[in-house]
Amino acid sequence: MTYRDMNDEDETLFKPIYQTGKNFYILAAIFSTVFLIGIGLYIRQLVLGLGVTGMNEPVTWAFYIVDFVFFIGISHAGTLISAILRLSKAEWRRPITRMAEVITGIVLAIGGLHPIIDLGRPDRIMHLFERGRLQSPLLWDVTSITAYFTASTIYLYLPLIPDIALLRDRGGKLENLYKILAWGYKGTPEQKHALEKAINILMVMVIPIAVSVHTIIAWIFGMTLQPGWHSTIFGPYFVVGAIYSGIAALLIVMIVFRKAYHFEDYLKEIHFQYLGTLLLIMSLLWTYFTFAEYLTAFYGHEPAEMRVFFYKFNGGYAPFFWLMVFCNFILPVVILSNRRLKKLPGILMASIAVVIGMWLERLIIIIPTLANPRLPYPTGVYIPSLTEISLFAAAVSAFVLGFMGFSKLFPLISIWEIKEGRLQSVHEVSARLREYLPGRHDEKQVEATLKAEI
Amino acid sequence: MQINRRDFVKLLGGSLIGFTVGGVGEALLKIPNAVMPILYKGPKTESWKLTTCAKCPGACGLRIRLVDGLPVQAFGNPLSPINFGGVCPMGLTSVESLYNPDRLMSPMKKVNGKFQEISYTEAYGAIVSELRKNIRQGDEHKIAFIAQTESVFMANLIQMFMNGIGSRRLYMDNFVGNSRLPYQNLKMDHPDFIDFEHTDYLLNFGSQITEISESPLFFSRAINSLRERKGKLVTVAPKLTPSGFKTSRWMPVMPENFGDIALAIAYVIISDGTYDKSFVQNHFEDFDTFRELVIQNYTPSAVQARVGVDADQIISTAREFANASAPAAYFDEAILHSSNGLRNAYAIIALNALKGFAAFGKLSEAGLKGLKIDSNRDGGNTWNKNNLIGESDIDVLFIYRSNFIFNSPNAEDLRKAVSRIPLVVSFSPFIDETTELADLIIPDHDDLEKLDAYLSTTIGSPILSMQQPVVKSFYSTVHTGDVITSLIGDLNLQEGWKDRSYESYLKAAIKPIYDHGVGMLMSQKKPTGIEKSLQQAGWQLVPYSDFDDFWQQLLRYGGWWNPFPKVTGYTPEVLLKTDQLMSTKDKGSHPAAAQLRLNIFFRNFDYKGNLLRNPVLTEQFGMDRDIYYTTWVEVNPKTAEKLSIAHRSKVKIKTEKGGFEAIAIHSPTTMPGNIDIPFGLGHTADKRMLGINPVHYSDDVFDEHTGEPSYSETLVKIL
Amino acid sequence: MPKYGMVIDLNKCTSCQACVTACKLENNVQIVPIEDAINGRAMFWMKMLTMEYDGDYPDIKPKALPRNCMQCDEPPCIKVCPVRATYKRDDGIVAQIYPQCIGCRYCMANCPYTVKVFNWHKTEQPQEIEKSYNPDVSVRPKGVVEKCTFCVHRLQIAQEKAKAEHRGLEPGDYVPACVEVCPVSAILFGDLDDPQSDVSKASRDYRAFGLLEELGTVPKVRYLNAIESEE
Repeated sequence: MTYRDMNDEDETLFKPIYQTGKNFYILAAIFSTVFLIGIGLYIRQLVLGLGVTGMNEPVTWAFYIVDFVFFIGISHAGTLISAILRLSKAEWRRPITRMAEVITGIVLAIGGLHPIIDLGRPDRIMHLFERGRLQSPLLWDVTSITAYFTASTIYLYLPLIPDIALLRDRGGKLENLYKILAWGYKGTPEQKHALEKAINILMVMVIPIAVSVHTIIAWIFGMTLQPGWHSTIFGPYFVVGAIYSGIAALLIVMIVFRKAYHFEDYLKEIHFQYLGTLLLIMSLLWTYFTFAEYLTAFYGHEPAEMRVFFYKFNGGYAPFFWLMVFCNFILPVVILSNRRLKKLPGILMASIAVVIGMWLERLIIIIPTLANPRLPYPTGVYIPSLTEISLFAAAVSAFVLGFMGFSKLFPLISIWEIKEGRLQSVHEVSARLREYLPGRHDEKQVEATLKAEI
Repeated sequence: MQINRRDFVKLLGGSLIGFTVGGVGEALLKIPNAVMPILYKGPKTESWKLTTCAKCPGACGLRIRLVDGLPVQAFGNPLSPINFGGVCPMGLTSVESLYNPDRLMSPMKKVNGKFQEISYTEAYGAIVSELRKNIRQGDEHKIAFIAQTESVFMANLIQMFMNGIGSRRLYMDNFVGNSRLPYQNLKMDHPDFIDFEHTDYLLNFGSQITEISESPLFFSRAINSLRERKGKLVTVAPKLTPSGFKTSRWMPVMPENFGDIALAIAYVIISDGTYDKSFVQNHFEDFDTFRELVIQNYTPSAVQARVGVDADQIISTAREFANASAPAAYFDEAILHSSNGLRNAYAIIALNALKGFAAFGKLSEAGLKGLKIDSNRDGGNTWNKNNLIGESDIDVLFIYRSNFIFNSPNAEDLRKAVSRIPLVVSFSPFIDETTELADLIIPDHDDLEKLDAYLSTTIGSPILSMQQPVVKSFYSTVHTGDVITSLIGDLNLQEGWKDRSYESYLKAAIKPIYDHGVGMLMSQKKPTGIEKSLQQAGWQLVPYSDFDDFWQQLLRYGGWWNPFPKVTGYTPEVLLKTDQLMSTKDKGSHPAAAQLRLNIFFRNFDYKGNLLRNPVLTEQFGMDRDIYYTTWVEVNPKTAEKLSIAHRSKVKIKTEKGGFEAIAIHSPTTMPGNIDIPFGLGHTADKRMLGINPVHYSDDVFDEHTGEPSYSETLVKIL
Repeated sequence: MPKYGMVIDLNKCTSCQACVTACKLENNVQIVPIEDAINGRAMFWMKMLTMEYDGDYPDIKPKALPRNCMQCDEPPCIKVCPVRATYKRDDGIVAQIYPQCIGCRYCMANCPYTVKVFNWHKTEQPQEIEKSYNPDVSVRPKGVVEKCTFCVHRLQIAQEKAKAEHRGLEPGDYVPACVEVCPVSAILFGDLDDPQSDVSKASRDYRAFGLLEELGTVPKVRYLNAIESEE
């Protein structure tokens, strides 16, 4: 018996680290190619200037910023879900949290790099730190994303330590790496206690940071004077949208890796049902915010706002707008509120639609406002260029590659939490339930009953 | 300092490393600053020189900024009473024209279809021998000259040359000359200027007065002050161009109907009896027949049916015109651009006569003594470029600065005709559409390199604007004036011809001003009080001592003018015969019912097809419509609705000569029956230009007398 | 400190576009490639806008407006710049620091008048443009934002000249290029804070208005409404 196939209860969770199938290499090759093409085109952009994109006056922000907001939005998946579910002591979170936290880590790195791709002079990026102006929403953005990235990386790493320790103990592949990363974790009660305390602090801290990140991104637009952007609802709107797209992305990742690595035993139907319900709730919430936003704009009927409104409603951007409504509202609600449709295939379809829909939503927010400036000239039409499209594809590939790489180094499902759940959860949950239910119970009696049950 | 290989490698390595470590980011993206003016190697001292812009008839004063002796920018000359320091886009880009890389650098000869450089002696020799041959054989009449110049001195020189040769085949395209052609044809005296200080009503027939006219910048100011004094500007034109943006009333009329409008107004004035009876009695010979014609055929309602303008509008305009103390009905060369242009001009002259030409003025002989130079076509000479097509016996054709292949609708026929001519000599500084056909090119200096002078009276005073070389000519170009003076001398075309250069000819032509002793250099302040009265009486102190000094100062300060000219009213004998007003064209039905017409309008970025080689002007050409490097057409919104043409959509335009694509713009400044298209794009000889030349798609319609092409009588279909 | 402002009299303006050309030539503004211009990247600091056509055919009153940077007193662009590459000077001019700009284009997104232009490429200029660059003005590299600066280089030159001549700066010493070349003197320029100056009196005229004033940008480029002539 080698470290590769020890007979651990949760061997399936260890398998992906030690065994790589043919499909993995094929997919890695494909995505790497796409990624390298993107990098090549970016270098070309560095040499020739931003002129290789399709941006112009007045549409000065386009795909790169849309992608930026989109990716940062997805990052809410991880930390928020993982932190909130941990906080609310939901037991069904256990197989989900790791993947959620990994999504956040990777996507923040990708998204955080996008503004740099968008800069006209990326060689001057140090100006932001040497001479930055704190009054500018962009600086708030830099601060909050850095904070979020730091917090979520630590929040990913801390619950990873016990798993690394498990891997280290098995010995073999990458033992030295795991030794360093495990930080000498032995599973002693003091270490456990310290770890739990740290995780608890972080999980509380991460939530306001996460909320602030997307609020600040919303304020990059909300703080301007432009029609369609200068709306007070933008902060919460973006946060809701981010959580929405995050959950959808999480669902996709879960379903894909469940199939690829045979996690059926761990990611059960019930997990998807619950997340599906959460997705439905977010869909309705998102629709409410969107409706409120557009109704108030329409009712006020200010000319500049109406130009932007009609451009989205029945003008040049109408196809995207209505596709977005279909993807974000109609399809998810229909699928997720129908018991027969709310199965894995349906949920996957709904999630993919939501991810597309949320990307379209960013597009609809950013470009129509820029394309309809207050003064009639210059008129604006934006057509994306090959560079922008391929850089988006490269970003998605980077995400997939990052995930695949992670899955080869660390377990995608939190092994120690599953084990912990098996051992302790039933007991804890029962105790909690007794507290909620009416009637007083003698402690000792409770203990005895419980012991009998187990 | 000795550096051995090791040290060099160390130095190289060290600097590379330092470079990399120190500023990777900046170094990687540092683009070499190719924009440092590499010509300015000196201490960057700045100097200024005054000259005159020659791009349009305006003759505005220019002030050229030179850095280390090389021109950098052009501004306006604040001393010039024509433009007072203002400049238009064409003048501002004078320096870019100077540095244009397509300029010819030396005389060229066409060998096997390609142009080769030759020396000036060779080129000049070829011309002289050819001309001598013609003179010897008695074939003087086989020599033709097509010229476009706004300088009366140059025009006069060319006139003398052709007179000396003995050929009448001279087509002089001179704006002021063309504007005065109707008066010349009627054998009437022509007015010198419109007295803008006393005018209170300006009825503009089709002139793009603030864009392309006798003096666009002067007129812009004059019209602004007219409006400040509560005077009125009424525009009768087929399109509301920027010249008419501030008009009190726009009467949308096709150019061929201008005469109808003028005569309808005359009808109202005559029936009301508010015309200047004493003037008409003393000076309008044929008035009774004229009145008969007008009363019978030109009632406002009849004209409304024919032309489409509301009779009420005509009547109110007429009454305003009659009530004004000094009204002026204005036309210029643009009126000739229709099939009955001359006839329309006659009608307008008659209309002015009804009010005694109150707003017009004439500079008396004494003020212009010795400077009476007419640039017009020789009295009665109607030879024009269209004659080239019919006449096949031309041996030599000279072309001076006229791009007539570009701005004529019958370009194909003209091309064939010109190709038939054995020797075509062009003096153009570029290879434009007309010069492509030349056999021999002796390129003229650029405007900033040449010496010339412009005489005009538009501002109400005689004014001489001097154009001087601000920099020594860069290439082996030759001043055409020098060529012609040498030719006159070498071929003995004029008795006692002493001048061997244009400069000496010009000095001789200008000497009468110096001799006469009135007026002042532009550097001097306009005198007031006692000084003014003295000057008006003919006494003044002058800052120059002799003619050479005068000449130096003339060049230095940009020109000369007489601020207190002796002005008389313009009271000519109106020698108009009524039958000259009779229409020879079948009027036909209401224009709105007919097919769509293509109307070509001009912009102040190009004058007669020679200026748009400038990259700044080319980019700016369509900027205010947000269209770049593409041709566009303007359609009235109601017409567009009927034909389902969306704003800014691509459309196909079809005329008899072919079709082309353009972008359609909705514009209420277009008549419903017209499709307006701008003139100036579509140079085929210039690879940097794009767009369509609408003149080449126009029908071959010309003014019956002068051969000027009509720019608004092409039938068009839009899809 | 003077507060420099501008008043454009629309009654006098003839839409001749001399100001557009003069600005372009004075400030070495780039000429972009043809495809770029067609796609909306042409760089003009001063533009002639045709805002609207009042009236019914044929009594049409076109409203043409030369529009440069409004040089706001409360500029939205400087609020959002992350590196202070655009800022308001003490004399009121909103300036651009080209070496500081990182090209994030946030200021362009926030300007309600869309006056700022961006250097998308670094293109080879036509030869005649390169040879006639104004030596007083730097040519911007690619990737930075630029806009009308009231020809601030002319102010610097005028101040140096005044200092060399041991005198103060007089009105008329410093005028931007557009003001200098306007054929009808439709553009007035000077110190808005000096109650005697032409521009200050004009800015308080009953005909004066600022574009999009209601946004609170306090533009220092104001316009005088054209006087409608009665029929």
